Amino acid sequence: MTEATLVQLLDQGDARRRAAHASVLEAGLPHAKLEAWRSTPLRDLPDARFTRAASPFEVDGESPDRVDVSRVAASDVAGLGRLGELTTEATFTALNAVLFDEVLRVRVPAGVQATLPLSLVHQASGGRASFPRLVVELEERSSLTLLEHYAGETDGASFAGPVAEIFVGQGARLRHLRLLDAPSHHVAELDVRVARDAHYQLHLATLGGALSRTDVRVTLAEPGAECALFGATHATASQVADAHVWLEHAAPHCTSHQRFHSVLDGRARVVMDGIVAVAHDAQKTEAHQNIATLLLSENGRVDAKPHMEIEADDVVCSHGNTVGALDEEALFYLRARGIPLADARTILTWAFVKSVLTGIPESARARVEGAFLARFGDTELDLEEL
Amino acid sequence: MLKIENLHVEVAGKPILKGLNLHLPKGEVHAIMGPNGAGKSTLAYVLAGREGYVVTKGKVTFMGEDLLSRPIEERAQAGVFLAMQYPVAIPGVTNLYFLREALNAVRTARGEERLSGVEFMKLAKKKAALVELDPELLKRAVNDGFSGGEKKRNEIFQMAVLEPRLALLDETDSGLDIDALRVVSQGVNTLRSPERSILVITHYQRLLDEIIPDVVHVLFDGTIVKTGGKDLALELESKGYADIRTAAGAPA
Repeated sequence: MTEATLVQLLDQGDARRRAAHASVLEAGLPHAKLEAWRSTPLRDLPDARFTRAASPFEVDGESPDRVDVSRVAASDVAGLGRLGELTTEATFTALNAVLFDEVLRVRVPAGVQATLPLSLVHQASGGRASFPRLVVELEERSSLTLLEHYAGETDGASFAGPVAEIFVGQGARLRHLRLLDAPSHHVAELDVRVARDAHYQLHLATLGGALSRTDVRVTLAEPGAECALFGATHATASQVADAHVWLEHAAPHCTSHQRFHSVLDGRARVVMDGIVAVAHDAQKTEAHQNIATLLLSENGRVDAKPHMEIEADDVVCSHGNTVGALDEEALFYLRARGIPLADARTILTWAFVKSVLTGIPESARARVEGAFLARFGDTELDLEEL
Repeated sequence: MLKIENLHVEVAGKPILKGLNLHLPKGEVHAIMGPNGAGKSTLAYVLAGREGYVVTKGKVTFMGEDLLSRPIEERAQAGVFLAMQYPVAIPGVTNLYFLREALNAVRTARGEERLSGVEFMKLAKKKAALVELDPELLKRAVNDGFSGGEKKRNEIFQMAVLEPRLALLDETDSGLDIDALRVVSQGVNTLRSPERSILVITHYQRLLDEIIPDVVHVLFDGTIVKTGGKDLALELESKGYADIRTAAGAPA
């Protein structure tokens, strides 16, 4: 395989798919003039050179009984699903559509309650660009816990551009955890459709990457659909951590809760852009959106924008957005009881992060909490017991 | 134990304490009474080391060493404890976790081993009973959603766990009903010891019916204007602060 920029890599994709997206890709990678990319600096990514890597997910441990996990070669994929319909702002999704080499397909048959979690790991490696693709279908009244871990080595720049399509069928329940702690570049699309009386829960834990961006699109498609989206981000040094959420209430009697907490240190930059759209006939909608950013240094930058577009008139909606440093009163209180300043800061920071990690699947708790706690360096504090 | 000499303190450029002198020997309980604005809480905060309280003159020695040059946590580790008038809520940090880290910080500073979760739990339950603190509150976030009375009990509970050498009680009686006042006072009384000094800061005399002081000081306009025995508190209660104001040359 030859080294090429991300756009040049397109020549290595399937010719039929390449043609389909040629017009979109003519423009190149997204840039700051596009609204959805206004706050996300790509820096040197467009010029970085990679070789195209096979991009399989590994199934970590056993996969749960009665859940079908299969790998479908790109040449056998008839359509590209809804993500085939691209906009110029979703260039990375188009890249994936042209360059993915297999789809990991997960199907939970009707009525199956998977007790074990399904745990997927994707390893990025230096100099490689990979385009993992995941399709998850929960048939009616089924349930699953899905853990995704995007990991990687620190041996040079890498790129992962995963695309996931998730369908939560009628009355089904999906608990989804995604942990990002790969060291390099990660631009992900996560597209979720929630059917009647179904429930989708997401924990998006972001620690890694010179640049990480996750676009989450959730459609509450039928009455009674619910989702709860939690985000925990810790960005330091010169990291850029970005989450864009588009949440659409397309039907009446749907409920959504969102809570995103970000910690910002060093010269890092955090973007949290959340749009909740409530359609005209989505009456009796309940939608709550809360964004909070903790600034640990004066040199960080945060672009946090909660945003609601409400066309229905009989709804209960709220949104909040706070940015601030650690609470001085709380710091004083802890210190006045003998806790050293550095430890007091760590305790309050961890409490802030941990408050969005409640409800995390138990089997992933140690891994996720450990990833955050590693950020706090050596300490005698028993933080895992907080 | 505690010696305050000619202490001058400013807050936001405004002089609050203006040459305060006080000597609190080991094992004694002293009360500081005074009207609103006299500087009572400023004294408590400046001893605990809170930022924004600027010492412009004077010195404070604690156990023979300079106190004011030490950071907040070192004062606590050395045995200074401030029971606060308005304890802050800390969402996400349980009472048990917080206090265990506090005790372990104090123990580490003294060169003692950290306590395990099990050992600490045993200690915490025993001390919670002392102030009739509902053990359920130990598992809740620090002061989060606590009633006024629960917060004050929680302060004395923390004091019981940390076993300070010098306890400063800042308006511990405010917001307490009679029953809660008695419970909190009994908690404090069990902590009286020949090794421990206590400074009770209060506006009202009623707390001093329960915690009988050895000495009562009257603080007015930033200085101690009168010192006496426990009867001084009763005198102030019946006559108010009018005489003190007159004696200090202020309009009554």
